[in-house]
Amino acid sequence: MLDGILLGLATVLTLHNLMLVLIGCAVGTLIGMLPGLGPISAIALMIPVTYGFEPASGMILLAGVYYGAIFGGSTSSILINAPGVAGTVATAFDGYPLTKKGQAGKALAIAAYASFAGGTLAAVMLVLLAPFLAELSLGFHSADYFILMLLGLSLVSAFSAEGEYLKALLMTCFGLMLSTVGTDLSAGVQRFTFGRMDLIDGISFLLLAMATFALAEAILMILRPAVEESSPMPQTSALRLSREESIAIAPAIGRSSVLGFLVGTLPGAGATIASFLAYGMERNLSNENEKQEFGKGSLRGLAAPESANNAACTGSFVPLLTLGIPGSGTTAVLLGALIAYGIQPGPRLFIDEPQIFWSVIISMYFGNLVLLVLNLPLIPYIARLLLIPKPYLIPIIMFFTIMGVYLVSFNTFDIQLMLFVAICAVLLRLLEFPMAPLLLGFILGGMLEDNLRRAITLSDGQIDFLWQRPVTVILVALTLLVLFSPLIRLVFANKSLTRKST
Amino acid sequence: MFVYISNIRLVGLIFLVLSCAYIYFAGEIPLDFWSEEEVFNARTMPYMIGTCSILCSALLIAMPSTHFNWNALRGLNWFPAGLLLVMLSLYGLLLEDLGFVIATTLLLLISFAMLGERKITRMVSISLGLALGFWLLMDQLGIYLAPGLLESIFGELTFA
Repeated sequence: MLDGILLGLATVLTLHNLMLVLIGCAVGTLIGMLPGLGPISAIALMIPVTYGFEPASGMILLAGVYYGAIFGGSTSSILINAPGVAGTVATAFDGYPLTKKGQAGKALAIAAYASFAGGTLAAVMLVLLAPFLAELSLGFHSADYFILMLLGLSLVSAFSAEGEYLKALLMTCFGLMLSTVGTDLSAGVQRFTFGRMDLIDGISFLLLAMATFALAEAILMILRPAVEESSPMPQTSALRLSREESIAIAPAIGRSSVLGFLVGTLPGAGATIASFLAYGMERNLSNENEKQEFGKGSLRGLAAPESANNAACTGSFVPLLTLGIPGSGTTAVLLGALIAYGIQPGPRLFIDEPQIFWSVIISMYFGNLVLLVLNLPLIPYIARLLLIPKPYLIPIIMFFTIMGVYLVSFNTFDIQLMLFVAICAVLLRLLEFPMAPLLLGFILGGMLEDNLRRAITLSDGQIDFLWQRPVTVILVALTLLVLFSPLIRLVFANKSLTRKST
Repeated sequence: MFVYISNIRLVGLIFLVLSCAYIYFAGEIPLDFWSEEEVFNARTMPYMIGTCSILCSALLIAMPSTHFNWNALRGLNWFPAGLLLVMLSLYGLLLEDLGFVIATTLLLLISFAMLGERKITRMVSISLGLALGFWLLMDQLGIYLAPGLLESIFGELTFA
């Protein structure tokens, strides 16, 4: 492991890669701060830039964009009560009241310290856990992978909002369907291309990510104009914290970081759930007096979700790097980028591409440091970005999303396809269909098919591979449990609903 | 109550039709003689996905227990959004003929105006500045963007 850490350090500590960490964090903060644009959009927008880089450098940049976007999201949550990212909604609960009390500077400082601590603690846990898990998963066969991916896909649906399970499942299926468009590489036949040359290579994941997130979010900004905040940009006060305040929030940060990391490692859970859980936990742990403070500007209530969401970001790299299975929409896009660089994700990443594996992990320490040292003092200036009027912001975002896709393929058909997908995505989002499962299904589709084909071929066309090894049996059982328990609950809920209405 | 249920069922029905169409087209995937005999061929996965999708859509129709507030769809700014999408589509169609700089400047200019900006000088300087700046940057990076009309007016244009 020490070798790995040293290798990671050697890769990260070059001027080029350190600059990329810096740029990634800065760009991520800028994009994440814009209300509506989350980490998926931020990463998708930056992927075309990384195509010219070494895979390790590309991943370092994108990882920086990821936690930069989460950090940026918390800034807009605190300053104008408009979370840029779902993971920072809980930050606004106590962050915005602090701003209204004239303590915006203090709130931003707490957010930065909490993010730093959460991110760094989680990075330590990642170093300890990832190699162990990667070695464990080396014993997995194709069949296990197939089931594991199914488990990941069903977990994403299972963790979706109340009553949205079927919608998430449907979106996963549609993502899988879209992944079958193009040439089937094993047989060399075209599938669902309808004779169009433009579709022979399939739909690019970048196009899908840009269309369903960045472009769709820009269109939604026009469709649903936000109620303009009449209050002008708040002045940021001093960024200092007193000794007592630091002591008060320290335990909250520690607890929330561990919780956030653990939740983050679960496929499907991610930063949003982690931040809400941490907020709830902190509230329950505090005494009656402190409980009154929550929602009115409690320092602990701000520190908890902030450390949890950053820790969860880092945690979500565990399944990505060790199993090659993304747990969230954001890590799915990162996985797509890895595949686009020509890297085979999976447990062998740790052995075949140790440079990528370790440099991404090590770069997180530096990224968190950059966010703290560089972004914190600059925040009052960066926050001016929030003042860019929408009539300028929206067309510019649209222009960059279109260019991001066009500059990779130089095919104007892609622009039309992207608009079509974006229109569908906007309609589906208005009907409250979640988009992350679609992206996840799309990116896992190819690997799912490969592994199933291999498993079936190896077992001579039989499906007995499902119950031949204990690992597979456990995974199958888990998948069935995850897949069917919400369905059964849904049936019962539906029965009681009909009984009530009759 | 009835209206909302039938509406969410309608969405389920659309998905059901799409899934059936998907399965139908999966059957059209060309297979050679050998792969038709194989247990797992190019049609297998699409059939599996299509079946799952039909099941999910059918369940959504049978149990439309998801609560959805249709009022959320009222009062949306459909018109400017639709117009902007048409603009983007035209941009895609004309990008290579008009050339990158002209098409982009026009796109940005019209979109700024459409979303309510009225300060002409600011609009022109930002759209032209962005288009030219982006084009020069790409030119320096050795990435070709169609010059289109500009080239036919001014002749060969390269700064690299």
